Amino acid sequence: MDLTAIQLQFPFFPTGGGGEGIPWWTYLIWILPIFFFMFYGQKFQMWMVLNDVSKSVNKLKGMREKARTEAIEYAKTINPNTDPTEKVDHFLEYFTIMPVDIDPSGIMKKLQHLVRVRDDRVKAEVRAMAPSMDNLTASKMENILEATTILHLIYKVVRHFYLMGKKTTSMFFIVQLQMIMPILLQEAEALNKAIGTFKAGQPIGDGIGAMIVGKMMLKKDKKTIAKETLVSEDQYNGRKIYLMKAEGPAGSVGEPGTAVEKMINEMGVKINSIIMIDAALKLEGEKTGELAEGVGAAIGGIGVDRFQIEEVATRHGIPVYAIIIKQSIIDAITVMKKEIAESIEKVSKSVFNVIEEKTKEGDNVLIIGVGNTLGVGQ
Amino acid sequence: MSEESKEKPMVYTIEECQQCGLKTKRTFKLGDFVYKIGEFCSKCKGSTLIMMIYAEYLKT
Repeated sequence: MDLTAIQLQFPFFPTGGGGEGIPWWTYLIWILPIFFFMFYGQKFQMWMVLNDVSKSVNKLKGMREKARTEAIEYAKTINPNTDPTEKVDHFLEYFTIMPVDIDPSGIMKKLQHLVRVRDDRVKAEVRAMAPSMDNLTASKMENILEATTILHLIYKVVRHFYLMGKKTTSMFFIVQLQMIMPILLQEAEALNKAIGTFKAGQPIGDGIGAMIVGKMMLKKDKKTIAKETLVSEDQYNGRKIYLMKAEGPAGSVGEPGTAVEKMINEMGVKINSIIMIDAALKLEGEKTGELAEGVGAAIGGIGVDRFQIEEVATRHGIPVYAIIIKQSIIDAITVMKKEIAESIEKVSKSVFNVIEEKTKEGDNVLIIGVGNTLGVGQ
Repeated sequence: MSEESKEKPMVYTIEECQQCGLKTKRTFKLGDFVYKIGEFCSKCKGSTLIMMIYAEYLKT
């Protein structure tokens, strides 16, 4: 067909922008996309974003499934006579309703009570899977189930917003989801890796505080002062040192807040300074295993323990010094990296420097190793 | 995905002899934990203590 002949019927298509003999239909190559994107641009963009989010949702689903299977498999190794699938699935849907915060007065007591009830229930449910299991295995199972529950929650929330966005064709849902997806995937990936670490009972990055104090506690008498929390006494350059950490090698963070309250308020121990050692999240660009010193209660979690320590310290005028070991969220919940483990000497030196510089002979100093003590004894 | 996710972690146990101070590095075994009494020292046959368990990332 001779297309140049049609040119006569459509005179608004010139023969060429600068050259003769260019057929009129070549102009459609740039004119048509303009109209296409004018009318369907947003739909096209929506399709692209939905496609991208859909891939991430599937990735999260795969991670959730893997974690669930691993939790079931681990439960089967503990008690091969029963099928734990139903119990694990029931556990994944377990939730905690936070207390009313419109009137915040007394909220910390409520929160503390709620956290205790939740912990006790989790422990009881895990115990019910195999009543004869030892503490270490039970704590591993608890940690695995907690990581799987978080993964399950991430997947469910992401799927909710994805489906809402698809249903309402709202760019707001979908684009926001796409923007935070890399961070969510990174966290999910870390949780997935953490399950293997929990199963093997290996120390995690978060356990560095407990590891440092655990070393100081070696060959000393240990007393249980609060739930899953131990304390030892030592001497250093004329100072009495109290060492505190969660009881390892089970995966526990103990109750350092309650332990400090009990020690000072109930047992009447006069503490002159508190030094807290904990893992802390690093900023991008900072080195893993680097340490930093500061003041204040270095302890994460929901805030109950921090509140208790701050409260006691303020009431008795006790200065609280903090030493943190920097690491990423992935480092904190997966097997401890060499750089973190090797920071132990630097941190110990720093602790003794603080003792020498900030306290005097005859003082009582409390050193708390904060963090999950999985795979770390004392 | 992060660079690290493409790397495979190798987990090692570091044992230190309580008598001669010799440090030995071996692959992590199930049941190991930090500050657990380890195997006998290869040099003096003294008792060892697990001082560290850590991961080293190897590029695959």
